[in-house]
Amino acid sequence: MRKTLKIILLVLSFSIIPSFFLIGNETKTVIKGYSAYPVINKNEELIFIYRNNDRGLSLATKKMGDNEYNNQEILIDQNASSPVIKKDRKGRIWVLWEQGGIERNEIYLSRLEKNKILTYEKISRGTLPNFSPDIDFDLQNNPWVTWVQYSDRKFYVLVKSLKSEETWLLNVPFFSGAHSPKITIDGNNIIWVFWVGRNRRRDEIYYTFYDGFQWVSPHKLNKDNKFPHILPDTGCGFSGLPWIVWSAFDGNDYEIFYSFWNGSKWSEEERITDNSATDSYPAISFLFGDVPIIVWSRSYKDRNGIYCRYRNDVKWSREIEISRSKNKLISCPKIAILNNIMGITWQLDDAVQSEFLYFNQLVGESPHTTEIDETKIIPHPSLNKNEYIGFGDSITYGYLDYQEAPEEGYIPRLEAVLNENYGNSTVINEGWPGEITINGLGRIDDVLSNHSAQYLLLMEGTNDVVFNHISMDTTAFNLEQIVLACKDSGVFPLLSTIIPRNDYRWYYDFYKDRIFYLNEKIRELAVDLAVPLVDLFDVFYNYPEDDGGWTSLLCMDNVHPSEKGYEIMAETWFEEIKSLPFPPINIHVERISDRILFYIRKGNYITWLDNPKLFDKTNFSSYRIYRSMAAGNESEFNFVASMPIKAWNFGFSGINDYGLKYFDVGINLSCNYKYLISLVRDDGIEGPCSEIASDFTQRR
Amino acid sequence: MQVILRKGDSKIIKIKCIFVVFALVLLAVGNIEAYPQEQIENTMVALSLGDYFSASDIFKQIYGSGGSIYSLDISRIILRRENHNVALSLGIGFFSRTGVSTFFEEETKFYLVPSSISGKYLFNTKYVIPFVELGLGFYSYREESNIHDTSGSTFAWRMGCGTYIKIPKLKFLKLIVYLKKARAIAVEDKIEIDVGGLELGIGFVIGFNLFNQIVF
Repeated sequence: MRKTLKIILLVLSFSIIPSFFLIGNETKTVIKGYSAYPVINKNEELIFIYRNNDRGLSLATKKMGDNEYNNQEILIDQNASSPVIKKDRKGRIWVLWEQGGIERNEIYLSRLEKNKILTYEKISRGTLPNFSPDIDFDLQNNPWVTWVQYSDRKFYVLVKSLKSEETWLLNVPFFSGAHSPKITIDGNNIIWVFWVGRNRRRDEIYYTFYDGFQWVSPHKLNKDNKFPHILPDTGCGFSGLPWIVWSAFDGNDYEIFYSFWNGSKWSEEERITDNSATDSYPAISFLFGDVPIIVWSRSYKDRNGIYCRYRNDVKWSREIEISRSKNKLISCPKIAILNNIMGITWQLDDAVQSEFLYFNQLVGESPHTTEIDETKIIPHPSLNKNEYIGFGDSITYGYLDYQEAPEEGYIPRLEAVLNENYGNSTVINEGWPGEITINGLGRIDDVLSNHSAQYLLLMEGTNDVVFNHISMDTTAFNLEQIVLACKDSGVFPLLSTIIPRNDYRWYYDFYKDRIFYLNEKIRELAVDLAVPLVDLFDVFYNYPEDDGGWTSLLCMDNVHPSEKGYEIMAETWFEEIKSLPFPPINIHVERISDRILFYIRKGNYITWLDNPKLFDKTNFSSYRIYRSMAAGNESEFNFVASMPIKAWNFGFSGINDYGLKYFDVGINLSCNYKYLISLVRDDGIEGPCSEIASDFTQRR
Repeated sequence: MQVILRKGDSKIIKIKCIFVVFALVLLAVGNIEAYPQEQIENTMVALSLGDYFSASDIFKQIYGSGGSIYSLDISRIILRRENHNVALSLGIGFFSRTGVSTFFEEETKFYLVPSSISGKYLFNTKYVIPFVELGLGFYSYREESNIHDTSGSTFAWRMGCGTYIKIPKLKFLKLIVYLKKARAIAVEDKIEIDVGGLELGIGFVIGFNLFNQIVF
């Protein structure tokens, strides 16, 4: 009996003791392994999990600037693979993986506590192979897991709620193929699952969603069905709407495509690559919470690399090269983001590589980025926020019944309205009779440097219409350049369509078409350049017949407005000015520390007030906060965060959820900083920036 | 760091004074009646409810000065000489408190599970059994908030005193009143907090005899 006990104790000590002592830390510069998946923890360390060469899982961590990884095995000799590491909505880190063999793979889930797996839970049930797990967390922070189960030559996409313990089968009736399921939970708590499925002969992207009551039947997302669509990845930004990226063959090679849910339908699929190389393995995340960034791998002949593009508003940046390799296979990039810090991992032959950097470093270091960087802003504090420039031709200058009449034009009328509503305001008349847009483009720089107005009201092109040798596309191009010149100078432009005319040209289709075409281009331009549009054509053209109709708004020459027309112009400009995103005021910055028992967070607490010029505060979506180091390049401020004005999720109570405040913890505490804030309208138009505020004086 | 003195702090001092006076009176009464008493049961299980007052100023700032603690304590007499008894005691408690962060007042929750092993000296008198104890503790703690989650554990020193109060005609049932003090330094990310403190409690005790041969 005693002998048996001794043997049992001996066996136990041999089996238990190694698991305590072998799970230790070591420092490495090269990580040999596969399937790395990164996350950035609250201490701003890059952590990635990967499958090591001992059939287990390891965790590598490193801090910004470190060349070495702190490496530790967290699961030993368990035939584990496909690890996924994700943070929940409280920032706690979870690990999901496959474990087992070919015949029977199980899915396991565990919380990561102090970089260790303590206890883990089996998600899958039964004796069938399970693979490709993915996880996300609903707004109540409950985990949802999706994976593929294979049985009788059929593939089943399963999803499980760990709160209710219910499991659903999603891909009915498309069981002939299912791969790479991805799950994301949007701001309305809708659970989206995407996968590569097959209906006919090609792989395609399918999706379904759970609206709180049931899963809808699977839908196909891609339009083309001639070529394979593979390797999806998905995510949600602050806006709470899901995005999906994938790789698809376009007839020549694989390219990266994306689509996003606009609240009612999926956007038209668009590509972000178009070349003769193979672009694949896309992964998506969101910078600053709402700027989508896509990384992917590219292989072309003997050159391979990892690339990324990010999108601000409607424009994608140029491609940025993150890594390049000659003759070595490079693939499977994954990206993790915490505010403006990016952690990217990828596979290089049999090793895992990573890049851990600030977003600004990425943009700054890349020779491939030539796009205007919309994450920076250059303040122009000398601009007068009560000054406006009216820029254009004779209609701007004031012309009435064949006579120059600047005192009767819209400029003095608008100035009077502004004075009445906003106090002392000035509208400068920069209308040049007879001018076409080429002339306007030629003098815009002088106008901008001669005045210190914050706003410019641009209406030009009426004369271009009658000059047959100028295409309306060129006119639109010239207007675009005028708008860009304003933006470069910190002047906020408002763009107007040209008004209808009732002279003989109106009755020639050629001229009439040019007017309509130019106005259509101007409307597109306003959207593309994110500037407010004042549609004076529509206002004039739709003027009520009972009040005299649109022709009554023109003077005797049937080209320039009548007095009533100028009055309508002034009112219409003012209507748009009323809805401008005027910058916040009274910016206050304070260095503070906020602590709970075991954690102290220090940073700059910025508060502000809405500009009293705002008439209707419901038309605005967010504030954008920019920061500059006091000792650095003072003319350039970097984007820090976007603060929603309205709470889209009432479950959150964090300081940086929404409102007239922001707690900036991404700073070096030994440095001083300056801040600017701008207001963004619901349509994405960002207003001019506020006065500069700094943290020089107040510290707590 | 600014420490805000809360309303409860002066209350603690008052309670402490009352307790000490009360204990002294009971001891005095016990000494007067100090002739061999009927032996007390060798095993006593106490369930008690107490107030827990943290020793940490920053704890008070975030969570207030104290809160309720629920405790279970099992004492086993291992040595007995007339009215003098020595016991080994195992205890475990549960304490939780909700507070707010110091600046933004974001909600945070703190959980503490103190467990202990201690030696206890009990002096049996006619009406009361005063005791003193000294022991080691193992404190598990957890702090949860949107800002950060922390969990860990630390060792502690504990000392205490109190008295069992006999209930006439109900030999197996007693009341207990006690005061315990603990020092338990927890270190997380270079932040050092004494999660120990003062515990003042009252409860009831069930006594019974079990394995009398183990009592020396």
